Amino acid sequence: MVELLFKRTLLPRRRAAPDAVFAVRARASGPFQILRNGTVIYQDRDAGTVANLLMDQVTSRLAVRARDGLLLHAAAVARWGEAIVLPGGTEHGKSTLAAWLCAGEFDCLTDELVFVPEGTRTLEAFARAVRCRPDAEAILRGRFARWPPHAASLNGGASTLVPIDALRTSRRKVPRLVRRFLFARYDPAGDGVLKPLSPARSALRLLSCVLNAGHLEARGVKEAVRLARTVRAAEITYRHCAQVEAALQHWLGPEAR
Amino acid sequence: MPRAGYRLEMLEREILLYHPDEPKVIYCNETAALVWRLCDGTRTVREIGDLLGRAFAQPADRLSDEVAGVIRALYSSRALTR
Repeated sequence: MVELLFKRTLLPRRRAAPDAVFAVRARASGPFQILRNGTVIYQDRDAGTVANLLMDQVTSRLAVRARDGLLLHAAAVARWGEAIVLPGGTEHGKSTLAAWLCAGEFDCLTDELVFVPEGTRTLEAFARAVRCRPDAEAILRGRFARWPPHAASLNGGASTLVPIDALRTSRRKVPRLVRRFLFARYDPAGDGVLKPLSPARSALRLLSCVLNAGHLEARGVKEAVRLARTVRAAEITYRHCAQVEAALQHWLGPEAR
Repeated sequence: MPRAGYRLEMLEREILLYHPDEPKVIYCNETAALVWRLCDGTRTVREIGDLLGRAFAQPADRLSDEVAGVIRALYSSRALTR
């Protein structure tokens, strides 16, 4: 379960004492248990439910503690060495969109958290399992040759957890430079037209996705402004993921493979 | 006049106004950014409208309504104070 969730999660370069230690206990006849710092905080017989909860616990812990950079609620994908960050709130369709794009020529970096260290344009993606909810599965079934796209996927907790490796096809080194911000939002009436954002509007949108503002100077405004000045940004409302894919391909332009 | 502690980030011709202790960030387009800069506590709405009118070669009375609207919005956002 832990491998499914966090196999590709990068360890920090600077090792520090852990803020919390999570463990999963599986007993032959009993329920799965999640332990935090040695104390059982949750148990359930359904592995998928436990996996979902463990992922949420770890993610929210990271969000609360992250410092020295912007932690964005965002998915991120890569193509031909370019990282495209898709910031957005819950229910904006980030995971579905990331999975859709990554059935094509994009590679999934994360469906949930992106960290941009202070003063850089580099990206540290929280590469956890990708969570696909039932409505997303209905969309993605037709996109993948088989569903779920990996035998190790775990169903439960009202969603399917897909190993992130199933959404990575490229053998290229994972890109670390942020090239674009795309603020994409699912809307049944979306026109699918990509609209460039001014730096000020981009900074404002970024700030609405910062999860650790309380730990940052000026609540992250300085960093968001700095990034908005240097990274091109656009917005799109879409009713089908294919609209975003087409718009992205046009926006990124032809490039040597 | 601008409320004490408010800071400004200029991005091309637009600005973001924010107070480092508050979560809210205020976006100002080019006109609103100029209004903010001209609100020094001494100029009237009419005077600000005149200045913008000359800058944009537009009738001041047409701009005065827009200036008043911007000032009302900035005041209700607590970026301006009396």
